[in-house]
Amino acid sequence: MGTPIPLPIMPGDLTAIGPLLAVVIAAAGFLAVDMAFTREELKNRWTFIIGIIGAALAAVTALMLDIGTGESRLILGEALYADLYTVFFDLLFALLMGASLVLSWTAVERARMKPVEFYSLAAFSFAGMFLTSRAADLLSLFLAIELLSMPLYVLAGFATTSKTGREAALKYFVLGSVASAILLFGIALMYGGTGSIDYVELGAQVSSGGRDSPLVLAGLALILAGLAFKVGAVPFHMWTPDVYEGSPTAVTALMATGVKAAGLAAAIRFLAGPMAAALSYVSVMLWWIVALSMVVGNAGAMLQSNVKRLLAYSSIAHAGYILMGLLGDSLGTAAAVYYTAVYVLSVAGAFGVVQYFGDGDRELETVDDFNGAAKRHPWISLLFTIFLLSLAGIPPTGGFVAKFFVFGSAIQTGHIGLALLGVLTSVIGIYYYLRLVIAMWMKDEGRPVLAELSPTSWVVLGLLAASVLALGCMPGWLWLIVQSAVVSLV
Amino acid sequence: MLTTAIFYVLSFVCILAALMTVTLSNPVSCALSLILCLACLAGLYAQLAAGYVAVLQILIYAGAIMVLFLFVVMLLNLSDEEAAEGRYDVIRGLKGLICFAFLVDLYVLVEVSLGGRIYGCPAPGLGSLEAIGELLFTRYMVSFEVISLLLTAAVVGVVLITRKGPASALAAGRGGSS
Amino acid sequence: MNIEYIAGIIKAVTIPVMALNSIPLLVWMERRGSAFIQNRHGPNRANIGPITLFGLLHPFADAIKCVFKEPFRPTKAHPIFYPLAPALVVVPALLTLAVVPLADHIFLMGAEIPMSVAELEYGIVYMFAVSSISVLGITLAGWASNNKFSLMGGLRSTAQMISYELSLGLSIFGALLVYGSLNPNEIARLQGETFFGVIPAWGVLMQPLGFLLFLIAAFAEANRNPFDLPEGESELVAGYHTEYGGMKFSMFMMGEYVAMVTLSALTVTLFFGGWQVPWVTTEALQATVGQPLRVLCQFLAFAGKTLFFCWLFIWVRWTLPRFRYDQLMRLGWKVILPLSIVNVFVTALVLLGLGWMKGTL
Repeated sequence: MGTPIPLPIMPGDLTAIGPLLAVVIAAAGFLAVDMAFTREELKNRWTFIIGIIGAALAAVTALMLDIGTGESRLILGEALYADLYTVFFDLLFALLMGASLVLSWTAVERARMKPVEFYSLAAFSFAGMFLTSRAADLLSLFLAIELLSMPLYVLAGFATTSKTGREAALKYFVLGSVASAILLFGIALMYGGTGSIDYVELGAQVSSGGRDSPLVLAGLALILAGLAFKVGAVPFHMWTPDVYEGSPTAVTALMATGVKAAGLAAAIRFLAGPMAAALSYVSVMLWWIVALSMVVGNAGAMLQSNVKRLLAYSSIAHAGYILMGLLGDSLGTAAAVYYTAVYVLSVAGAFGVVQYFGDGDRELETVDDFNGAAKRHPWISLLFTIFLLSLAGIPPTGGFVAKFFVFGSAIQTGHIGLALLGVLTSVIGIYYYLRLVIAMWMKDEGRPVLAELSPTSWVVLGLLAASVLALGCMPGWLWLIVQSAVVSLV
Repeated sequence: MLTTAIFYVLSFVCILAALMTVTLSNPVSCALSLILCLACLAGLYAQLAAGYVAVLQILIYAGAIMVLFLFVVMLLNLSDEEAAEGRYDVIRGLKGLICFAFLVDLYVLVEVSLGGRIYGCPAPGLGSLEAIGELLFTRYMVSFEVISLLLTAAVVGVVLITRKGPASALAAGRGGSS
Repeated sequence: MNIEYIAGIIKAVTIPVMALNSIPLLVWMERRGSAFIQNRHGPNRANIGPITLFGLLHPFADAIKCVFKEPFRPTKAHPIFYPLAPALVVVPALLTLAVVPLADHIFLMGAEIPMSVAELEYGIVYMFAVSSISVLGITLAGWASNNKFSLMGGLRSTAQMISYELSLGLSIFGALLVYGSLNPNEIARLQGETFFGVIPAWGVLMQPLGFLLFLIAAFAEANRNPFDLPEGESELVAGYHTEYGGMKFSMFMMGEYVAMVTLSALTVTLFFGGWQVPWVTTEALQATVGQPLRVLCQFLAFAGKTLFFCWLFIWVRWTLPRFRYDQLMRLGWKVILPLSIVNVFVTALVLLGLGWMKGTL
């Protein structure tokens, strides 16, 4: 036997991946609970406890990271980053996990899934999310995205009996695999062109004349396409409406918040991190992605009467807005990160509310189903309205500030046309979001039924709404954090 | 000289088999062509001083994955792809054209980027067992662990799907979820 | 031409020939052995004049018969895959033997020559990789024959071999951890030591559970009784080779027997010291009797041990009844696989503990 090789684990490295470990342990805990108990109530209770502990632990360990001077640190064999950026997204995902546990419970049971099964798979997906923001090379990036998507392929379809559900699951799986293949092919070309997969090394090579190498360009374009697919940006958005509509709402909520945020976290890290030099080579492609996403997303959403489809199209539009930030300078990147946070909070809240509306097995599907909601359930309608206004970008919500930052940085860096397009499409956005608001507050013929909300759900929804409002009224503190997080990227 | 000859034979068979994989109509023939293609790839790996990777390629792809492919194909007893008529219609031709364009594109890309550039011979001992093991436990430790997570997630997912399989048919009639 | 090339060519020719020649011997062992076990005479009448050689001529008669049979192909069988399948079974089985060391290295005209066709650093993995291809042959035979029984046999055998390949691989992990090598010759050499100066440090003593699991999985992998469901004649006529006759059928037979030899050789190499003559190291032996005799002794030791395991295969076949299919699957997935994992885990823990005590970790 040869001499033992020490593992590349430095002191503090395990804290730096603490959120990841916490959620993996939670996943193992869910599986153990499923085996250990036979009674459903016990299973459910322990699933909830373990899930909340896992999310809390993830948040705590994220905060325990020693940021030092604020520079990025490469950990565990230079495969992962540890910096303020990862802390930011860790907290976001931990919050999301907690929110999903509390808010999606009813929807999970309504879709005839057992919570323990749903969350044991979702936990693996969350592990993938925690990885995307810290991937420091293309291999980690690819694996993180696979880990994030794989459980969702299953979740999207394993409990459905309806035709649309099966179609959605199959579509998501097949197209997701194609996207992974495209991403992988891009990575292969990139590696072929440079002989490296590390962001740092790649960045150095690209900035020292990578333009001479079409292989690198093609690789970049393909990687961007793969990421755009996960994010759901045009022209890689085709799957979004059908899949969002057909999947169980709890899964859709996860796709609209977690997957999108994780994809954006990876894309921002990839395009604004050490590889920032590469951005200028794909900026034209990115420009078109942004412009088309905004137009197609908003125009599509305008035509929808199904709420889930509407939110799906609007999520395409939001992907466009967020990616617009990447076209700017570091302020633009910060705006993109800020927008991501606001978007995730608002959509988590919006889906949280949607999940509670419904009658027995049936959920509310169309916009008209929400007619008269405010008469019967004023408080939750108010919360829903806040989330929708934030998505529409109306002050005093976070959505307005986020859009302001993004458009502002676009104008500053000379993308005035894009900013104008953004403002115009936002107006369309206001139209369809307000349709829902009007249905709830100004029509009274319908009588939508609301499932019972537990006190924790009220607390979580209230907190989400409060944070959305807070981000709109006093954006300063988060804006500062985001800015220093973005500085640590490079 | 001999090495070059072997390289060209392997590459030729590899490409031919890959083409057969996508053009043949019988699924079993396609699967077997794919196996041939993968075996030739293994040969190419071996030529690149990556013998261990070559052996693993055979073990995992030809020996495990493709056998499962064949198993499923046979179990479903798929007949020839139902494309007998309209085999040479416009869409098909277009698909072929796009593929061909992509191929040319790729060739140009590689030629322009790497034409004449040689990365040099691999360092001695690069593909050895020890070197691979060391890399797996140092530089690629995280990836290695994440793959194990990924596989666990896949296993859990598969168990869920199969557990739900018969039950979901019952559940259509309500309350059958076991 | 240097000596290594010449030796390589000689080895590449002789070792497969040896393996092929062991087939008639094994067939004879199987027939006479089964007769012996069942208190019968067994085939003993084939003769050349008065010479019968205890029935040893029967395999030759069989061979002649098979070679001269009409190569027949059922009309609906697949024109390419039907004849390809038997070859896919035999060739990998023969290729596997390439890395099995028959004796320790020899020194000839200043060159160190391994006594296997190729000495690979990862020989064990190579063996598994190549032998996994033969599953394809069986699967394909079942499908290409275009016969329900064949298809069922092929499917059964695929499922069985995939299931047990896992256990087969995992069961030797413990042993590989102990040896710290994947090179068969290295593994054999490491088993030359002794415990307390008396007991040879064979793998079976360090990995008793691993050996047992490996043996069971090997029986399943070779499609031999008690796991010969793919050709269970009471249910499936003859399983995947129902439609085969003549030389093609005998190629399946050959594949089965060569696989038996290979697995026996692997067992011996991993768990019974390979070419080690008990209590005598290569150096000591060479010093006493000289190189040629040393090699002969080691080869005989290896061949003897291998033959014993081949006999074990036969012995078990004529002693135990056949499993039912669900029992087979349950045994594979719920007993052998978990036990193999436990074995790996415990072995790793013990090695870690030993390393701690020695202070190397």
